[in-house]
Amino acid sequence: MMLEEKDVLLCYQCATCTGSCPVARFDSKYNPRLTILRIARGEEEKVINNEALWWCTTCFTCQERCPQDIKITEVILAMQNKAYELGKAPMKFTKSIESIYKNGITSPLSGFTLKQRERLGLGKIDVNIKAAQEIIEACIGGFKK
Amino acid sequence: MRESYAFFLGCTVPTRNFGYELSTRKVCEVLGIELVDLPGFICCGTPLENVSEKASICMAAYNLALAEEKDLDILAICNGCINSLKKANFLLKKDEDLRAEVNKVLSKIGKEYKGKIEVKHLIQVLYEDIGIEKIKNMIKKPLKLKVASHTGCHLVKPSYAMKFDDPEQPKVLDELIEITGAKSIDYMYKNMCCGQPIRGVNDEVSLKIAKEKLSHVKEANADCMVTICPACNMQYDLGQLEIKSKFKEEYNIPVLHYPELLGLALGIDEKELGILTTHKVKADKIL
Repeated sequence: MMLEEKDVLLCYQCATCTGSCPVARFDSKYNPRLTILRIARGEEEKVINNEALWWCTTCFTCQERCPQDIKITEVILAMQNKAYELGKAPMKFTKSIESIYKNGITSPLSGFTLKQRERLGLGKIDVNIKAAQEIIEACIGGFKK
Repeated sequence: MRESYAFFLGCTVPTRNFGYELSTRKVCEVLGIELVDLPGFICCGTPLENVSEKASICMAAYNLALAEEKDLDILAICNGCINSLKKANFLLKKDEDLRAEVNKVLSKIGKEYKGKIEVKHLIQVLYEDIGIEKIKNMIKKPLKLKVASHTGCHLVKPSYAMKFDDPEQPKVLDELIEITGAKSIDYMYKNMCCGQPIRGVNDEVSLKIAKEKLSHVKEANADCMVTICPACNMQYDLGQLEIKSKFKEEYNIPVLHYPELLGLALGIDEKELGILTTHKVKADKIL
């Protein structure tokens, strides 16, 4: 995320992030304040190994409200990127990569979809699957990882 | 100001939200906005941002390059697409080193992004380029509805890159709803996320968020909700069926895409907009 890791050291633990978070409202296992604290303490592995790392909706409310301008949502995404590299991403995300690799977009253009589009008078869709494959190969070495 | 836009469909709209695509095309036709399709487009990059920021930016940059080749700005109707394309555009314009790194990947597919175009959501085009007054003058059938709007997070946040509307209390969609004659009402937690992005990783919390929002929309006696993102729309529309089966709560609130609402007020036939055939919660009671 092109973030400086020292950024999280500015956190003074006011918990505006957690208080603003729609996910934390329903499940206290998700706690952005604690996530930032752990990273600041050098305990990244605790963050990366926590399944709740993936519960961020990326609504950016915490980031917008942070009085210290810590890019909280982007820090969480950076941690998710690291976790993915270590093979710890939930299946949803590996499936997404696979689908984009195979279809160029996340949903397959099935015969059913194409028929419905035709029936509604919507035009054909032209997706460059090869372009998506090249990008995925170049950036993350394909979808099997 | 340009009158033609490259229409970026993304993944969800052309495969699962036919009514959104139909109504957008119809409304733009009536308002004189030319939508130029982008052959060879790919996913906007949003679904990859969790696993690789670089892959996500490269996907976005490829699509930006496609539109730039046609010398057109992009119009998109999904907040996820807007977020990815606009954020990548912001970073690529600002950071030459990043642009060089991304263009190195794009060169393998014969593309290069120079950083010359803009990306706008349909509602930004309506609000800034067409203008409230012009649309107001074209309203043929003023609507008498109480509408609960949901702008969605990714259109306005992160604000440093989205640079549109107020990130905490967006108001553009409400203004656009009110010019149709409908009343855009307040409801509790109006600006809270819909919860959709965590479908597939935490369905329980995702649905609880949607349920909370829907319960306040119901409390406020809204006739319908209006969204401007296919993901938010599915979360509230299809989500109501899931909430009914999981939590035994029934709301029965139709959830329209904004151009469907505007289309009705512009006097476009409901059938041409696809309102009755493309939503899970039937909208016949508001027609």
